[in-house]
Amino acid sequence: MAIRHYWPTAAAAVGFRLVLVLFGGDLHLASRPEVSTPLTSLRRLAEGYWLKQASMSPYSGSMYHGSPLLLSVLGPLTNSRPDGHHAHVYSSLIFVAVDFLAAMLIRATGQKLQMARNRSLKSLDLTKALNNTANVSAGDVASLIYLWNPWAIVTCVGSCTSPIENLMVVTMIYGACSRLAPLAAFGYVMATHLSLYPAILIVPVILLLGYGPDAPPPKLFLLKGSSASKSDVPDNDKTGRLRGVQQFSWKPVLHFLFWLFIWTCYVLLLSSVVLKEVGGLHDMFEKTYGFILTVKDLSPNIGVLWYFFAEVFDFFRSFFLIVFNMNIIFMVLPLAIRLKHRPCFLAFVYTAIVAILKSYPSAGDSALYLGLLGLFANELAEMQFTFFLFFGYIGVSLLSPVMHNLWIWRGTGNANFYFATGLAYTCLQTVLIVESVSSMIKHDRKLRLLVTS
Amino acid sequence: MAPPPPPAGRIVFLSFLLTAAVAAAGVASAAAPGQEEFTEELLLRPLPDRKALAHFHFRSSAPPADSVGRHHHLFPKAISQLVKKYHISELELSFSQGRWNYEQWGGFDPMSTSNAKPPGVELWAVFDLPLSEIDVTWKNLTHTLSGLFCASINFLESSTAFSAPRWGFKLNEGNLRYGALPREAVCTENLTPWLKLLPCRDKAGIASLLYRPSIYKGYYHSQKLKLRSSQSVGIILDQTLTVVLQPNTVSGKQLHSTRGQLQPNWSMRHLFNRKLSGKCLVSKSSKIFIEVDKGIADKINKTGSDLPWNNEFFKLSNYPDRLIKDLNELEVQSSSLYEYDVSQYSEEQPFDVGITWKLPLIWSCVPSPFHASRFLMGSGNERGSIALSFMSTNLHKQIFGSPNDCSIKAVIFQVVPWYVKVYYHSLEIFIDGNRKTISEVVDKIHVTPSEDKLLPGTLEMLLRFPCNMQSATLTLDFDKGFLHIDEYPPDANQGFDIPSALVSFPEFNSARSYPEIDASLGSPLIENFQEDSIVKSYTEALLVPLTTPDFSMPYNVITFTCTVLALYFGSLLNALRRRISEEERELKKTVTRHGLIRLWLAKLRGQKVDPMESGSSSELAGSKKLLFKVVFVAVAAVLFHYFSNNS
Amino acid sequence: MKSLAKQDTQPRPRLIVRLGVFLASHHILFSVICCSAGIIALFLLPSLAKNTYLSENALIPGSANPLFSTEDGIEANRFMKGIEAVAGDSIGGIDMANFIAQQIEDLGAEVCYHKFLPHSKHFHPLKFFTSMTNDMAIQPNGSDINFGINTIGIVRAPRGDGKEAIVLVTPYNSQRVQSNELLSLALGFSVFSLLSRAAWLSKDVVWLSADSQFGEYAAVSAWLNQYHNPVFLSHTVTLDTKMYGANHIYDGSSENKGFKTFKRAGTMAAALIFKIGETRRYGDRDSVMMYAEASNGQMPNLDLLNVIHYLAVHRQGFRVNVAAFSSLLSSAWLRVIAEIFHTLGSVLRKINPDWKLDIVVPDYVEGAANLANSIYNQALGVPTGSHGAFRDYQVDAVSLEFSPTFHVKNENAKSLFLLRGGRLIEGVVRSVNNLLEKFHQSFFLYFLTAPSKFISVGVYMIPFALLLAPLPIVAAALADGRNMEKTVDELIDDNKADGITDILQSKGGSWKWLQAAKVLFVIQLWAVLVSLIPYYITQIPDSTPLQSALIWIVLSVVILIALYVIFGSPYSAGVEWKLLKATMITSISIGLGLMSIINFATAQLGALIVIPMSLFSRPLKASGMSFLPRAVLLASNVAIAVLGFPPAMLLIMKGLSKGSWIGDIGDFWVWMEFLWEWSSATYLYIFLVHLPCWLLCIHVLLHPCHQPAEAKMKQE
Repeated sequence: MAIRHYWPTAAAAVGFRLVLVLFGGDLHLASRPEVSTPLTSLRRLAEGYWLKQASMSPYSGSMYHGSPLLLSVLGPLTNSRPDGHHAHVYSSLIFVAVDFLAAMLIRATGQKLQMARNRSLKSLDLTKALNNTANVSAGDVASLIYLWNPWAIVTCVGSCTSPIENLMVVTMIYGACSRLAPLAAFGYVMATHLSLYPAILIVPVILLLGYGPDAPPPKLFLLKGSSASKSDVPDNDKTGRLRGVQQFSWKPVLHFLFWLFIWTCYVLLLSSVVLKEVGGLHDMFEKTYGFILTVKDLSPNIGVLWYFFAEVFDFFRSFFLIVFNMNIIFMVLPLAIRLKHRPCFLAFVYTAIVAILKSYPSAGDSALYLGLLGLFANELAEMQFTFFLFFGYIGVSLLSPVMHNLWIWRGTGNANFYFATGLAYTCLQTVLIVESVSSMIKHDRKLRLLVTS
Repeated sequence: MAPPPPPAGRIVFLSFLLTAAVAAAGVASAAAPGQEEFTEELLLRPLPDRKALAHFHFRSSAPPADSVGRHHHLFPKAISQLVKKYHISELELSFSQGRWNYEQWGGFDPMSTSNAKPPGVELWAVFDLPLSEIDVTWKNLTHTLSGLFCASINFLESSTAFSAPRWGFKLNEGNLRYGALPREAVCTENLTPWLKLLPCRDKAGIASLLYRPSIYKGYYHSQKLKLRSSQSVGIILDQTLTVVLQPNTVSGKQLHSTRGQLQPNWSMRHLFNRKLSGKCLVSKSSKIFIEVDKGIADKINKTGSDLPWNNEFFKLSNYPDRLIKDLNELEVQSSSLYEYDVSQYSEEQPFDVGITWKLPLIWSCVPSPFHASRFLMGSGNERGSIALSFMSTNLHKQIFGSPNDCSIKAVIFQVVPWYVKVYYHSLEIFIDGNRKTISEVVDKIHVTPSEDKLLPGTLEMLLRFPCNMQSATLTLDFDKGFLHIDEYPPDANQGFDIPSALVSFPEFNSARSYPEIDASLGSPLIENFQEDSIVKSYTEALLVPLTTPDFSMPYNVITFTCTVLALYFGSLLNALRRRISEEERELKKTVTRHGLIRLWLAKLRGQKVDPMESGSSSELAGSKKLLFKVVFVAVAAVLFHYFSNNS
Repeated sequence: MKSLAKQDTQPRPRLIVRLGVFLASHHILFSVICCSAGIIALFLLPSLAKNTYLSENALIPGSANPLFSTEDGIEANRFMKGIEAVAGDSIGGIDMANFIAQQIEDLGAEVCYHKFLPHSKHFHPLKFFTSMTNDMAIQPNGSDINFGINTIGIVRAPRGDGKEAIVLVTPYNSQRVQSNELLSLALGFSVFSLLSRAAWLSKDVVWLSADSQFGEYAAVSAWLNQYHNPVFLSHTVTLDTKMYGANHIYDGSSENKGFKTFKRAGTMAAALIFKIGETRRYGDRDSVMMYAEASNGQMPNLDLLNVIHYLAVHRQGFRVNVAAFSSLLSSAWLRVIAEIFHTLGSVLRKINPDWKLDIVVPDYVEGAANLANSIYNQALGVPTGSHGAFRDYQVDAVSLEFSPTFHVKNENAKSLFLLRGGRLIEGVVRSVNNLLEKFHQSFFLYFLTAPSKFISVGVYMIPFALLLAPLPIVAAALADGRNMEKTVDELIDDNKADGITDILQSKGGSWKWLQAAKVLFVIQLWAVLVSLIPYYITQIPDSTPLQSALIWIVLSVVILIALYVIFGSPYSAGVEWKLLKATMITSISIGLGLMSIINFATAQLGALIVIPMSLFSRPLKASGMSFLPRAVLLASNVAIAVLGFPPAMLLIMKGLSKGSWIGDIGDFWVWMEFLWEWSSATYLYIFLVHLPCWLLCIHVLLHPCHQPAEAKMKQE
């Protein structure tokens, strides 16, 4: 069933953001390390824009590390400073709109998933299970989670560019779910261009385009098919639908790859135009992707890598860089093999892993994957340790500012205090991922039992 | 953003610097006849706050290298080799200790503009080399100099320590390098090698006055070495030592009081605890000047006539050989020099000159047009702001009269180390308490932003202030960087230094003009005074406390982080492979180790079914067991301690 | 069968689950043990105190002979006479300020005035986090007459590079001058004049004679604010009538401007606030009182206190005290506890000579009194002096209050006292001057049980940790305990594979706590609103504390009802009381953990109340217990619920402190006003942690224990 009065709640969320943007001038969220990282800080973007206006390369001076397109879009807004508001109020208004759009796309994705789920369950003759389970509409839940997630709100208000990155990821997933290859390709290219890590999402996108949205494992359909054929009433259209469900269709994938190429060329062209006579593309790649991969900036964030690379011995640095960057790649293949029938969930797991292991994590990434988590409210109904996780997240997000204050502003604590919260946060995310994956697997197993029984 | 500079202002500015360079060349050529020369001079001057300034000036010059071979009679060989090896056309190295007090000791005379230096070491050099080779040459030069002067100048080698200003410091075409070490401690081990460059060390001549305790007791101490070399004039080496000393007065207290009492009387013997016995024999000329400031002159005689050496306010101990008057552009006498020639004094009749005050006298030195000071704003270890404030001293009224539409130019040159990450777009300018847009104050701005661990940031600005402005403030926000543990110095918690900024006023020129004497008189000190030199003043050095990581943690951090990541990796893989095995188990329904498992299961069930509120009895049983264990262990521990201590 | 197979597939998680189940099943015993241990450890603290020691080697106190001589004493007397003459015929304090400035200038040091407005105390409970960043210095414009004037003198260190500065502060009330304040000014001036001649200074010295007509803290914090975050937008301070009257003695406009322009001197290394209190008749030696507690339990670095203590005691022969609860010093029960610990300690000492717990009784009592005061002051979160303002800018500062034993007219005693006081201050300045790095070696988090004894964070964390330990266990037992069981019986369900029921049963099974979380959320929201109401109540003109307190309470009740109407009452959703209690306990453990980092003392005191309250709470209607324990539990529940209500708590504390048991609700308002004016985090604690916890306890107590159907089914 759908959530009661969904629209008022969503509107309330947007209104809340607007109130914070317009009247919460002295919140100083922009300077919180949990909110804005060296990659996404709008203040650094303003500096890059200033340098560009002064006919210097925006990347000179290791201040700005974002994309040149953002520079040309948001730069002029950062320039004008209205009195009474904080510096970047115009861009914050844009971010509010962006967040709302992202939430709507999540909702649409959720409805697609819902339809697919119902179809597949029906095809498995699990209509009984379908009807009398507490069957919330996942899309509404997910979008509401994304809209009311305090971290999403803080990220949106705290003038950093991660809402746009999140929007791009969501666009890609939506496009892939509804088999719109150009949209998916656009989202993919932009997300990868803005922050390198969504590149690994190519696997779930291709799976989505190939197999269609999430479905129970194909084995079940085989089993069902066999049992159905054994049963004396032959039922062709179901087998036909089964065939339709499980086979991999190449056309949308090729379509997607084609559009991928087009969009890539387009983005590169645009950025080279923006960066004309102020440093070139090479400069851009070095200062964005290079900056991401070799963790240069050691300023604290909610991750653990900053302190690690501030403390690690120099002659080990490159080794650990390779290890930590590989660590993301390592998990891609096993997960893809194991969850290939649920590409959307796969995408969620990937985003969560990226949020743990990326070099400059922020609350915005967590906001994204928590929003996506809502898409699987039905499948993950019996996830374990949710109580512990919920309060753990609350605790960490309250503890982190206090530790930071004690270390940076009071001077009575030291860096270990803040690092401890980073460790706890990473552990929490790990538990979340592991639990969600295993409960999803358990769910599949349960379906299998239902089918076989 | 940088506004297009109006050409007029730029041209005026350039013209000033150019004239300065030309004049310098001219003076140098005049001072370089055929063979090597050495001159020694000393200038003494009473200061308003009951202190005395002593300025030693030694010049040794060598003709162009082709005329004489590679041998030198007077000129220090180390320096000439330095110049030849590194193709230095100009070099200045200064060791200073203490701050020059621009308000009390003057900010508008050659002494303050050319001899007031920031605390620590400052080094700049102009090379005549292709631009590609300059950085390498600079690195070698710093090493050589640090060896030569027993100072850690080699810290200037790393690319984060020096910068290449274009016009803010001194007009050049990219072949100038500038570096400063604010924290370098200056002491006698730097002075001794400096003295070694003189022909007769500190054994004879004016240099023999340099008695270390009395010099290092002073309030300000700046030792400088200036090199100029060109094909036409050869090498000219100027060594100056400027000290501000406190004449020891009769009463210990009321040391600085300027109200109602006599200035302290002093003589050279008082100041240095040494007496001057004759000149250094190889020196061409050896002179001692006593300068009486403009303020005193104005107080004594309103008419432009000569200032007698014995007037109603003070009396010099000896009759001066000569009186040199300085006429400023309004052709009124501003200050006067009493010249003494040391050459006719000798061991048996040592030379000593002093000043004796008759009436209390209050005067003030001519200040620079703006008093520039710099300070940090904000607290905490995350971010802050640098503020540069200008206080008008209303000097322009005395010089230009007071037209209200005029404007005064000021050039700011500031080097910021990379761990102070300045947001240049956050530059704000407040004039007399209201915010101005950048374009209406900044004529020209040149920024080299700082690269992490690679380059310091350099800021060069040409500002134009209205004349009737009383105070202006520039603020720049910055973030404090977080460093790797290896990049912190041993005293990490002291904080890091931002070297002094240089503020110069290109429209103001502190040159003295001595119309009576001609430049060929051969007194390099007076020549230096006559050179066109722009009024400059250095601001304070700043201390930025940065937060430090825990230096004892590397192993813990590595182990913790790796543990957490291993936890992630292992548990996720485990979650992935679990079901396979379960399915296998489901397929083969063979059960092993039957009884044990039943027992196990029973245990599990047994614990499952006791709810919290009704399970008190079983809990009590369990708790008894637990209690017993605990007590047992405690008793065991106590007994163990007891016996271990008895035995 | 399958389950059996499954169990031996993964032994490790099984073990974890079994451990969890074990602890959960014994949670009551566990919590009882932990709590009692925590309280015992708390009482054991005074005997665990260690002697202080200098950990920074750079400050070598007392290594140099003090230069402060009798001439400086004479100087001080001269200054004293002068300023007495000025203070006699001055209307406002301005003439004194001019006199001080004049004297400073005669020393040849730089001098400037700083004019400030009275510290306007607004309602900003979150100032603790935003104070350093966003409050800007307010400069008085020419219009208003009522402002204070600080006089600042700066000695530039000869041959120093002026990157660091040492601050000396002598507060004096320019409106009502008292002889001891003038004496402290004289002391400050004599030290300053000595330092202005000192050749050994490497840091600049700033002498701030703070005009404390609006309170010392206001003056000092206004100056610090102007020093650190000035505003340039306001127009430059114009001389108004008072200043014109002041500056007629000076000639030349430049000098006046020099007096008006705010002067600075580098980064502050440390600050020393000293004043001379009323003279005592009793006592043999002059004594010095050290105040160190800054806002929200922040303390200066211990090394600073050590230096002062060392110099005062071993060099100048002062007696150094820290504030103590005098009522505890004569309390019998504390004495009894001391005896017990003494005997226990001696027994332990016999067993192992390394355990030095046998502290003699008077020491224990005195230490306990000092410790109680230290904890109280830190828990209040209000600075005990103007040093608190320095701590907000990461500057270590201490207030010294000399209390001399002589009569002010007694000249030679006074000069002797001036000599020793001056030497003490000079020695401290010397030590700080020797410092190369800023204070970082020694402790920042500690309690003082004596001027030379301290308890470091590692030690005093233990009782708190012991008190906090049972909370997660109990929460797990109540909430995740069910999950663990479910994992077990899930397996069973899997074996008998009737999947539909399985699905039916476990849909949303593990998310059931969401209802409880919703209740918690509603109550927290209510708490936030309640804690923000005073901001609007304070806007009401001329309302008595009683009125505003009543308005406050009424509004909060109304809001609570409104929220229940909006979000549905807590019992409507049929949330189990166990889940509710688990949620409450978790939220409390989070809140206490946070508070222990912000301000440990508050958390420590709060834990003593909140933790029993939350652990004992149990519905009155809950069944399944024999009569006696149930009655006891009920009684304790009701008692704790009454005690836990903040106004009641306040009333009881008042009664305990001054024995007056009649207290109206207005006192509560006054108290809270005091807390938020000083932006104390204790206010936040009371209203965001304590109050919700109390309300949840009430909810649990009044819970109608009809278990939801499926829970029942699960129980069988």
